[in-house]
Amino acid sequence: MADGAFKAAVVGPTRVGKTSLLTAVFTETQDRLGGTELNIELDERTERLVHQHQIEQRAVLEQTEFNGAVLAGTQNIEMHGITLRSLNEESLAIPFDVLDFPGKWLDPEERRQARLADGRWTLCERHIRESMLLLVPIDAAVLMEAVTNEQKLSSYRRLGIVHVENMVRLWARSRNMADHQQEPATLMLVPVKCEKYLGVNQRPGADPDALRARVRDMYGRVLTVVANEARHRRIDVLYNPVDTFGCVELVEGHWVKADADDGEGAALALSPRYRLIGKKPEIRVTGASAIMRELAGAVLAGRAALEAEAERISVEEQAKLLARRAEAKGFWGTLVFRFGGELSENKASYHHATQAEARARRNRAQLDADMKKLVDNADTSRSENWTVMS
Amino acid sequence: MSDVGEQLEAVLARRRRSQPAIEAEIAGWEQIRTALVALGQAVAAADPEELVAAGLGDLDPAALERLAEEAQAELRTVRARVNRRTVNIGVSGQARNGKSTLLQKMSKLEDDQIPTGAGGAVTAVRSRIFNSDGEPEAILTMHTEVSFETEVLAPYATELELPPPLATLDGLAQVDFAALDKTLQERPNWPYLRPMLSRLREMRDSVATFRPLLTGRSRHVELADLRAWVAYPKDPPATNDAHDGHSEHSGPDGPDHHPVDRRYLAVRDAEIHCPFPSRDVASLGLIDLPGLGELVPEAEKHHLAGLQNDVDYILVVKWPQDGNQMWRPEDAKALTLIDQARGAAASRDFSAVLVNTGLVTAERLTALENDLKRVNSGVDDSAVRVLYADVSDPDDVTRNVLEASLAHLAQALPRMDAAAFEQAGTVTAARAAAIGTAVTAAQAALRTVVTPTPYEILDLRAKDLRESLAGALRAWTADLEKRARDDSGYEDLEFLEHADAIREGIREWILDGFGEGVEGWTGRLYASMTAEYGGGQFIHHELNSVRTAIADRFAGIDDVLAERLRRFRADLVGALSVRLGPLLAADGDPAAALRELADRLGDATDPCPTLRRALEFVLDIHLDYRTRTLPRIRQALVILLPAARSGAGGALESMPSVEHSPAGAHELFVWTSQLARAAVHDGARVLADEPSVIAQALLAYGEQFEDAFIRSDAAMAEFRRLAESFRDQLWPTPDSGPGLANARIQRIRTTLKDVASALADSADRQGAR
Repeated sequence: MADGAFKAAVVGPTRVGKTSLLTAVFTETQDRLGGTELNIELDERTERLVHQHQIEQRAVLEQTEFNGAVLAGTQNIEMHGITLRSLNEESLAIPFDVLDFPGKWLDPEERRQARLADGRWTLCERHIRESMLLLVPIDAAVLMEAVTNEQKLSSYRRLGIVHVENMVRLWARSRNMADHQQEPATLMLVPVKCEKYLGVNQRPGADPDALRARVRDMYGRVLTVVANEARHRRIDVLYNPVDTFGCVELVEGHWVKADADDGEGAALALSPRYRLIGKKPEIRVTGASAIMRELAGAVLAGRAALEAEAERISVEEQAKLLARRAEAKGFWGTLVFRFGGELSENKASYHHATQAEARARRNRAQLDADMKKLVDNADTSRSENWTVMS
Repeated sequence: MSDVGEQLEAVLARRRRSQPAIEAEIAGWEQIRTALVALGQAVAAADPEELVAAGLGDLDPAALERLAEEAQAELRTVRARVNRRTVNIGVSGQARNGKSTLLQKMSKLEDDQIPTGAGGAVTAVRSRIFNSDGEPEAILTMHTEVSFETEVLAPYATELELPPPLATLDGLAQVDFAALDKTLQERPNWPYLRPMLSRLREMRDSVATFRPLLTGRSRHVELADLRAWVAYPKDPPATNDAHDGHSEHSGPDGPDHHPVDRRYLAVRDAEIHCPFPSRDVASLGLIDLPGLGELVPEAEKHHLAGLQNDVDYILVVKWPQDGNQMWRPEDAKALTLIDQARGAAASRDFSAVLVNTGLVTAERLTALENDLKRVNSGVDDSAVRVLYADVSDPDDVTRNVLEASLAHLAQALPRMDAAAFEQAGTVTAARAAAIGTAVTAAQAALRTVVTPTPYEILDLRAKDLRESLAGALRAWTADLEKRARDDSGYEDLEFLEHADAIREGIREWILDGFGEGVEGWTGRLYASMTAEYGGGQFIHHELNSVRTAIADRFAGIDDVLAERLRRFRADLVGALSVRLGPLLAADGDPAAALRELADRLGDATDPCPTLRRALEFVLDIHLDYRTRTLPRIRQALVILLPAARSGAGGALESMPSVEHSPAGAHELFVWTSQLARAAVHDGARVLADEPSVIAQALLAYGEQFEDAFIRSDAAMAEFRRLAESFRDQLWPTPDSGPGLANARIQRIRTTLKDVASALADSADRQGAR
């Protein structure tokens, strides 16, 4: 875990495609940073994980058809360190810690059985509370291919919607607390494996509206929870489908009797079969950059808010305020930690106008500009703002 | 003709003149009784609460009917009296007192016609003997098997407690007489019952001798041959009463024995016409009454019936001989029985004790005289007239019996007739008054009850019919709605299983190289690739072919769709049957039942075109794959279109380019089969959605039918037409049906009026006389 990183969390059941999503975010952000002086870095463990995942993805591409459940799910808590770092000055970096935990831990009973008395779940919970962005990946095939009552019930359980709702409530409530009330808060509903439904490969008969409607229907309670918790502050809700493969399409998805011990408590499990599209299929991630955009955008917005406030209050008061916020070590503490020196420089530049400081200032300005570019260049064509304003 | 003869003929003439009035009165009372029966039925059809509410709680038609029957019984007795063409003298008394001898002397008949004997009873069939100038003859009326079983066997069966199946001519052979005899010994009245059992055994043993004669016809028999038909056989072989009746003497089955001839058992009635020695009174009849004291079932009942219907005067013969000189309880019982039959007549007018003086000592005669004085309380003939004659002496009989009796009747008969008429009048008037009072009270109670007119009844029926059907149809559409609601959770598992089987079948067909094997299919493709320098043309054709084949194969769902429509109609038939059951065929195809109902409504005397159209709408519903499902399946098959269509690229655009080799052909097979599988998968999803779509459609159809049938502008008017046209089928009894509690009361009101009217007619007739 990076010292003083901005926090985000992925909340979704096992095998929904969380690792694929992180890989997609990393891959697409990397592509979008072309022409900037920013680099995206992964911590060593995450880099290994993403690398392994990419190897598995490539292996899949060698087949003509594959089972969607071929990629293994997360079995441990993973804290993925993703850092946007200035190429000019290594110390200038915006680190993000993205929590990924075994999806089955969403279920209290599973947590009890997994004997999480060692405080690991407490760690997860604290991270979720402090996250400015909550990602909810949704397996679009599990959602859309359920037709009969039994399939729908199994779909509901497999997507862990009740547990997601509880996590979202926990998160949204914490966003209401005094320490976090001024912090950004965004919930992203992220359907994955949705190439078929969005007509990514010019598939005739695709119906994006149906996917949107089904997400709204099935996650209606989640949206209500957010709306209820957002009475005294803004909590953004974004709907943002992501293609983690792009070059695949669902051929058929049969519901089969589930293994008794698969932990989902659902009678049926979807057994999807995907085919590769094109002569030489290549992974084409779409929609993932919007996630990085939200992370970067939240940091930028927070910084702008902090500056505006600084303009308003005296330096002395400002120092007190910053000191108080720094104690919290939350979003604002992190912000001060990352941008605090620059802020002081802005206010007393005439006292310390050394050359080095000028270079540092330029580099920070460049970081700002590059992050803004990242935000502006992100593909938001699929993003929809479902925020309900109270 | 003597004065006595003239007086008696005058009595008979008066009787004949009164016949029409009596018949009219009887007919009038029959009308009253019939109206009371109808009243009873009307009251029985009403609810007890309804009767109480209408003030008819105390109305008891059965009691009124009994009153009418009593009046009729009284009138029938009078009719029997006035219908007699002769003055009838009955001869009664215990066996062995000289009754038959007396009858012989009075009629000049002999032992062959009126058998006498020194031993036990010899008269098996009682005769009615009439004075006649014509050729002497006997007319026998034979029993039928049914009348024999009812009138002869049944009384024995009752007394002996035989089960009904044995109280038949066929059952008689099954009776275990030995076992029955043992059972009888346990009963306290065995001395009374065992002789009966013996008689029954005799019948069983001789059944072959009389059964063929049970013809129910009349039979003319020469007087010389009459004895065998009316008398017990002389000295029949003894029967072994202690054991089964099949003794060697009497058993019918023994090789050397013939059954005893008991043809008399086949005779129901014997009527003898012959000239009587005394010619003073031409119209004279002698009635031999069933013997008193004989151990024959229901002897007294038969005796009393004979007294009431057939005789004007009774002679009870008493021969004070061989210990019979005292006035015994049996003699008293005989007079008591006669007293029950005399009706309004005085006892001394109606009967006399004839003391048979033949061979009787003076002491015995005196003893009896003294006893009879006690019966008359010391005053001669005050209660019972007493005659004396030696019944074996014709002159004595003529003078002291016949002439004395006729002289008595010439005086007494007009009195007795007048008394009988007066009593009948009193009884019928009392019964009529009682019935009239009850009817008047009931009519008064009903005057406060308003009952509907025929039009109102029709309207009530139509409304009730419509409301009942509306309720049944609402339940039917509510059921449809339950299935159609999004949140109903309804799932047509049978449909889904069928759809899944179809999907799996098509999938297997695809994986099997579209039915020709993968090798065959790729072989053809490779050949085409070679010939055409590419597989595009082949794939183009195959995509079209596969698309069409898949669409056709999904048509297998038609079976389930047809079943759903059949069930929809069957449930509708069920709902309509609640009230229109008689107009619907009970079994078979529901569509045929609805068709028949539609036709009946259309072709009715008062046609119901709106209701018919509503039914035809249901009959016109199509729920088949081609019209319902195919359009949506076609959407799923779009990915198999080879060329581009508006808004989407054609499949061929994404067809991978492969090398011209068997491996390349196989690659294209995989690609084509993936497309086909994807299309089938989506098609199956369309099918899986179909139950809810069908449920929605059927709900819409159901609601449309319900609206058209129940709530259209013309519906109410047509329900009135329906109620009128099919009244007999829908309301088979006049008081069945909706809202007709009042109609039931109306029926009671009508029947009461009929009773009152019949009573008034009767009163008018009385007044006219």
